[in-house]
Amino acid sequence: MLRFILRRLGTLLITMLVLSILIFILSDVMPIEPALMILGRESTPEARAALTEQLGLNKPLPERYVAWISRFIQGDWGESYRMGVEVLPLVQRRFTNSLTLAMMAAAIIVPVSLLLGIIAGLNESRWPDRVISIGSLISISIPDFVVGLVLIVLFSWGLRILPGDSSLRGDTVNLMEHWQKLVLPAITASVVLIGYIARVTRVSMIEVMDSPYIRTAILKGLPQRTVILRHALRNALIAPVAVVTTQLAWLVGGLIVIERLFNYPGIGSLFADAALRNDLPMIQASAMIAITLVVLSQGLADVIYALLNPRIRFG
Amino acid sequence: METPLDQPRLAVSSPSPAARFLRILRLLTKNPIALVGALILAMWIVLAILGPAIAPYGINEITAGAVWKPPSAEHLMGTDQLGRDIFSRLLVGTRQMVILPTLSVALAILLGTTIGLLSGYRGGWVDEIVMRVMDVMMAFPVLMLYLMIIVAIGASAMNVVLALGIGATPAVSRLVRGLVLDLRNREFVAAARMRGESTAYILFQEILPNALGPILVDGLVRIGYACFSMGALGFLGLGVPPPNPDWGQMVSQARNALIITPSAPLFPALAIASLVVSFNLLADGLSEAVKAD
Amino acid sequence: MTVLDIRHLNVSYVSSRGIAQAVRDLSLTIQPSETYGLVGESGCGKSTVALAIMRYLPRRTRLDGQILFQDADIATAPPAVLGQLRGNRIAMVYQDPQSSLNPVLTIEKQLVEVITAHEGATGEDARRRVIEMLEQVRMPDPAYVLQRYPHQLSGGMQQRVVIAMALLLRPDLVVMDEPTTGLDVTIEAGVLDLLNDLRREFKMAILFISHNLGVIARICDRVGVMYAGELIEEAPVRQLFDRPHHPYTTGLLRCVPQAVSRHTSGALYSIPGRVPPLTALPRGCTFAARCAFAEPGCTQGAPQLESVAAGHAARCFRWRTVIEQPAAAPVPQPPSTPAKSGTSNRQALLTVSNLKVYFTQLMGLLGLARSRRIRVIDDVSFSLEPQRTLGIVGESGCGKSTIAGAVAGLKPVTSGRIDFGDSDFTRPIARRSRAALRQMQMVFQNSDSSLNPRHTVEKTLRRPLRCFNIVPRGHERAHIIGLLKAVNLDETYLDRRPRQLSGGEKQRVAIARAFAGEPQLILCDEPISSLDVSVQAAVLNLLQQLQRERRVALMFIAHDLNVVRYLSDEVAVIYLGKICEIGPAEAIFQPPYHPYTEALVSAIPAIHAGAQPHAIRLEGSVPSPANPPSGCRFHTRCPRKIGSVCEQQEPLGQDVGDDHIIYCHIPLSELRALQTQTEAQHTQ
Repeated sequence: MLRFILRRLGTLLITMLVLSILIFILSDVMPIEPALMILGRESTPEARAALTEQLGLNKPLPERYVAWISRFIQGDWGESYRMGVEVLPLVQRRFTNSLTLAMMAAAIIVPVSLLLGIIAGLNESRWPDRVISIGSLISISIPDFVVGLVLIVLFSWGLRILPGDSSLRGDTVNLMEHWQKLVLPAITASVVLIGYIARVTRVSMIEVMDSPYIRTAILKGLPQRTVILRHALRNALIAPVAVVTTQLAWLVGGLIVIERLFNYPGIGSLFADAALRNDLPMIQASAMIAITLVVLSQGLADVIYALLNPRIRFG
Repeated sequence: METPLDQPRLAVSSPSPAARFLRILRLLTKNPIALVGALILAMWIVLAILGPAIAPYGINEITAGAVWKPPSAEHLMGTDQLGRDIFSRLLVGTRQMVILPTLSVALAILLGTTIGLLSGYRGGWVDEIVMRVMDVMMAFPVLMLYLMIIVAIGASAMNVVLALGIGATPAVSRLVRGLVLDLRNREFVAAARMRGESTAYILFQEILPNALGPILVDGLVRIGYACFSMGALGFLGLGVPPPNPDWGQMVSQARNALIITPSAPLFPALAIASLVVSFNLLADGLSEAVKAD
Repeated sequence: MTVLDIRHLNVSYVSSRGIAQAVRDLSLTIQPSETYGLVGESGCGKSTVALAIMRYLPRRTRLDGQILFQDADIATAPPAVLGQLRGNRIAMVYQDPQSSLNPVLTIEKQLVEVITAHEGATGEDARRRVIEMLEQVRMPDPAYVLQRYPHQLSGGMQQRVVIAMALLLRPDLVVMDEPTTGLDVTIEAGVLDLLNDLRREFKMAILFISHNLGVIARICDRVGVMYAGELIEEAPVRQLFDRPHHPYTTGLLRCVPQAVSRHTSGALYSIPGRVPPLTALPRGCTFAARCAFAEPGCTQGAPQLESVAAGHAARCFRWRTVIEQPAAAPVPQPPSTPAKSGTSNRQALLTVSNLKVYFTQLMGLLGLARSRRIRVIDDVSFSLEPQRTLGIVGESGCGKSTIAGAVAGLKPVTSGRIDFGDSDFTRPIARRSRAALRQMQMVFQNSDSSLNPRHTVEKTLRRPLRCFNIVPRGHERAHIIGLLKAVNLDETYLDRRPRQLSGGEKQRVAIARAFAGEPQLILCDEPISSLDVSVQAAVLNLLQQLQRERRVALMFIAHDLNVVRYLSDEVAVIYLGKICEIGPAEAIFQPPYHPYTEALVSAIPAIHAGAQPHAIRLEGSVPSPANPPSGCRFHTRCPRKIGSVCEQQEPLGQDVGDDHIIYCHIPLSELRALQTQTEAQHTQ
């Protein structure tokens, strides 16, 4: 198991490395001239050329990448072009906020989607299955900003029980204090993935219940409860966990829209603002942090996958 | 277990692909869910064609003094921040919302199928490296990738198609590769190789026809998601730039007027949702029909 | 007291395609400690009977009739009663042990829970009983096995676990559904021996379901034969095999080659046509359309199961005629292949020398970490003369299919040479010329994947004509129809796609495709193993007929010794990537044998009484080709191992004469003496 984790860790590092190259190349082709951004429009071309030289921006791409990534690893993430602040502490704060939101969403997604999927799977073609199947199909079809808007209209403008604006004064989230501000964004982030994971779980449950080893369990004379809880459940969770791995990137991407919609100060809205305002260091840093979040949670999902599946653990 | 129902069905003898298509279409019509999807989609396609012709107002036509008006007989869906008719803008915006995501998925299928076919059929280290790269790309939050691509190459209709297409390519190529890995070890491929068939013949005549069904069903789902993402891009202000009305952008602008007229953002929002729903319903029904076929 | 009494059982599956009447009016009884065999081809309803007894049927299934077991009628019993019976009084053993065991639970958990569920016992007590039971099914090292997951055990061990699971609570009835079908013949023999011992020890009743007549003959007391959902004959085992009364039973028994060569027995008997679809059964006798004895009256009323002798019943109007004149014996054909040349005045068509095929398995990231070499084929040499047949036989994983793959150019050769006529065939397909490719075609194992599901039969057969320029374009269609006729199909098949064909028809089309290019050699990789018994005979007949007419050589790869013996002129026996014995077919199947061949021959379940060869059983399972044993590769399982020489030195070939070579350290004379001795002992 330890060897498995170490191997996964190696893969994750390589993934991160390749992604950082991708981010660097993408941000390099962006029509943004750092010297112009730093010195402003009133600066002379000579001063800009000098700064460009000083920043080492005339060097070839690989050299610039190495310089950038090594500064990045050392924690020197530069200064924002637009906000005039150090990037690192801001990104750290925003990252914590996003992580809190994502965890809250996950706390909703995981139990709800698995439960719905299992109920549907155990009742194949009967009414609970039909309701859940159609419901989940619709839920994966509604863009998150639409869900968010509807929730705002309903709960904030209609019922007036939850805030529709989730901006934070201190820029730092405190779960006890701000939980109300997190509810609507978290539900918004959950809807699509609940539908998606419920569908996968349903199919997986149906397949498992149809499998020869479940037949064995039933024909051993085990009670229905034991058959489902002990024999079916663990096998049925393997597929959804594998699928969740591929959807984490989707969840993090979704945060961009949701955080903007609710004015929530997270990494997603930071990235969107930076992208809209050509704030290069901020784009790079927030993208790097976002993919770190994705890659780490993928690693976690892989470990859960291996724990569920002894064929992975003992090859 | 024996499957007594798996006797070859000689009664169903419709050899040509056209007949197969018709048969699947017939099965589709028996599936109420798919039928609903097909009807909604048909409506949007009709509106995409006729939209500009039947729109009561021009997209930039300003009704003086009518800012953020709620729906009325004059303005079916109300007016926006400049006093433009939301209904007309929605109608005219349909075309790009239907065409651009479809084009982007066509691009993704073209790229993804090529990569998946070659990588899966070649195997070995080429496959290993290509698929690692695709894995890595898939760990990149898609929306973030779109935004970076669009910031890099600028927002335009074509660039949106490019960004959405490139973003969807890794997933398509993974799917195709999985299908190819299964198919290339089938014995009919070995038989083709023993006849000395060219790689092109094997890929396009032996393997691809057997992979087409799943690729197309997946493609439908993907068009839905591309609409979804295009809405999100518009919402973030990086969609197709004006003057063309962009549904996502309409939602984003109208959201500031939630207090005045909550219906204003809901119309374009529901339009996007219903379009995506129609693709998903159709894909769901189609995959059932292909399975039953 | 009767253990199981099934009365007028009817089971039908309801689906959108119609109602499939899987079992019709079936009645049978099983007595205490009796083993009742139910035999039939796939789709005949035998597994449905098993699942009906367990009341484990799909939701949309109609079931009527009575299934009386002890005090209960299983057909109508409430779930609580079923829960008490299943696993406790009635247990089941399944066909595929790997998929029948839960992959995520240890063996211990899966065994102990049976005791816990029915008797409440847990902990040390239950564990002790489980270990005892594993010992009774001769499981080596039970304590170790308990901690494993199913995928860590070999197929034979998995099946022992499933058997132990079934026997844990000493049930009154065990239903066994093809329990040895997925296993290799030497493993199967061991499991059958075990079952034979256990049924005496436990005195339980067994319903034993199988398609394999030999297996049924070895283990059952009474046998029922099913055809298209009906029980068509029932009799004590010897009676059934010696004096079958139903034409279908007669046909089944005759169409399996039994330790004979085609040179002496001629073409195989085959049953024409195929099983009718259960959704549209014909009127009257369901077998009439395929029956040589059928009269017009047979299709009028349905025959009833009538008593034909004490304890023997048959469902046939004409059984009296059937037993009077067993269908005229097929005319033996003249020897179909030229005699083997003396010295070297005939040139070999195919010569394989020192062939090695190693696969490299990459492990870890990008295979950078390490890789391991799997020696799939390790130094194999043989040759094949024109128009003759070489049989290659061995158990699964021995590398026999890889030999075909390497000869065909589909698998890269690591070292060695393959010569075909005068040209070098060592190179892969991409570097062989069109003319060279044309010389060699292949018939594959899996009838389902050997034809492209998207291509019509016509397209499938047109490609080889195009690729090899056999006929001008205008004549293609006529030529294709000719090919179809040659495989006993007609032009109505031209527009069909594979899913509109039965397994046998698919394989016929595949054979037509192989012959289309007019090759000199056809590689047959288990061409009949995916087919039903009654269809196998027809395909084998077709192959040898075409071979004779079109003068091709065959390389015939199979795991079934009897089939190889029937069809081949020469035979090579492969174990773990090496040849252990090669020579003329008849010589291979007589002592002296290589000890492995001896075990294989001994493991075949034979149909006829007295034909059962002496019992040589192999221990353990086949070692991994990634890490093959030193010296003689067979030494880890060899019952005749003579000492450390077997572990240290690779045996050299000993020439028995007539190009018959045995790779073994035991001197030939000793081998001959040992083997004739055991054989004599067992025939007494």
